Amino acid sequence: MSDASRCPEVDFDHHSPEFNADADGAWRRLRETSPVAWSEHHGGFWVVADYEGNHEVLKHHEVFTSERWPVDDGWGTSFIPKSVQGGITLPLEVDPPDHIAVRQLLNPLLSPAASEAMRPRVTHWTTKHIDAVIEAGECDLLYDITSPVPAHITLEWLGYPLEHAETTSSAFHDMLGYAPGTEGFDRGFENIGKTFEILVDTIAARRAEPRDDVISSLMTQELFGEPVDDDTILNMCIVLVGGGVDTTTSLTSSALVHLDRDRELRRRLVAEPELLGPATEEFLRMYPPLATIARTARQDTELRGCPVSAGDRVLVSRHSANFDAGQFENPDEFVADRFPNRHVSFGLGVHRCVGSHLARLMFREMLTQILERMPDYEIDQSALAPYPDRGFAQGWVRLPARFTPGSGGLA
Amino acid sequence: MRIRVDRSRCSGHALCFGTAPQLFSVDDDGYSNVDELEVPAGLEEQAQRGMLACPERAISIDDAEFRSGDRR
Repeated sequence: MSDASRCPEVDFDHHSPEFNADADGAWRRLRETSPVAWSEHHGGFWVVADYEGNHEVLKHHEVFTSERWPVDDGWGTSFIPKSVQGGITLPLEVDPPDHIAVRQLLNPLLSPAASEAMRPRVTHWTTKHIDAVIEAGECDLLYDITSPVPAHITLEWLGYPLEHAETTSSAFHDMLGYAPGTEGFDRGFENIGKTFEILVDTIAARRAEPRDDVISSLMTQELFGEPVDDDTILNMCIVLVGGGVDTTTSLTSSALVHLDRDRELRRRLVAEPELLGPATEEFLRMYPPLATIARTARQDTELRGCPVSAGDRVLVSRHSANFDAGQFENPDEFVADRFPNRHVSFGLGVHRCVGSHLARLMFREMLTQILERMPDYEIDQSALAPYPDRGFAQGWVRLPARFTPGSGGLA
Repeated sequence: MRIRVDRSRCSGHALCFGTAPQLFSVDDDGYSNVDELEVPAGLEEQAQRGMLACPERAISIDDAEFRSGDRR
């Protein structure tokens, strides 16, 4: 495979310091010069930086698979390079027809109506976390609100013991927010291990004594004609926790940073709350929490004129697609009521984010309450740091802020 | 005017329904449950907005005038 001629070839590495010094610029150069190109880094991969390329790859799972193909080597396929070892994650790493069976279990749990039914809990956890800091007049908007709120909502729904909620939310956040080899990363890694142990114990406890939660409800279901076993539940829980805890955090944090810099937009959102609906899509477009996703070509094919061979790895940039001028007029500009706004932040095709409806609900509730209760918040811009590696996930490490103290206990 | 929904492309974003609820309908999980529908007079613009909201580009309209908002 490696001696096949592949063109155009670019020197592109989404994990390099050069990339991370200016990720927007790196994607723009690629998008404008060679939207599909071959890179020799990380064992070789195609990188897809335009909107149409996203559609071509993500909508054709029969050609560009999420499965471990041709063999399961024990490594997850979502990242380039492959960096997570373990069992096949469901439904991320299965395509139809198996994928359909798994999604049929999960879709009803996160459907528009099921998400709407969670609204009282979304309001509760948002109010509670803001109450805890509102009188102080200062907090870390990330560690006090945007990280723990989605975590408590997701983990409560799942049936995970909430006394460990922040161990889990900070685990995912720390692993993305700090570079490997640092204390923050090591702390995250350790807490991911604890999260696994807690999940295993919780699943065993629900098996013995079911409750009214997602873990217990999955136990009553069948998959591929068999009752769902504990390994499968663990596997789905990891995906639901990983998908639920740091992603909405990043989206909300990015919106808060944006609104710290654009006070006029903040005033507009306070004055016209109905604008938050379309603005949510624009925040999603400009700040997709997961910038890229990987696939593997299952057959020889042509992608936007480039010769792809069976077995080639393909990195798709959703972030770059969202700034494609062929799809979005003035893509660098935040247009609160932009329409159409067909961003790809939740992915496309069969693997479209199963939690998108709940994510929008959580985002809007957090933003609405923050704008109501701390409308004059100011982030300490000198303490702002983006994730050190934005080749996969993008967000902010912490958001120290001050605001006029309000009164708590509104819950 | 008729709307066609290619349900093999629908991935359950439910944005057609979210944008034009008087026209589009989705099942409990958020996936379109119509293949084709006649647009009542006066709702043409709603139909176009619903089409343009679909990130999967699964919706089409048989009227050239209302296809024009599409930048694909």
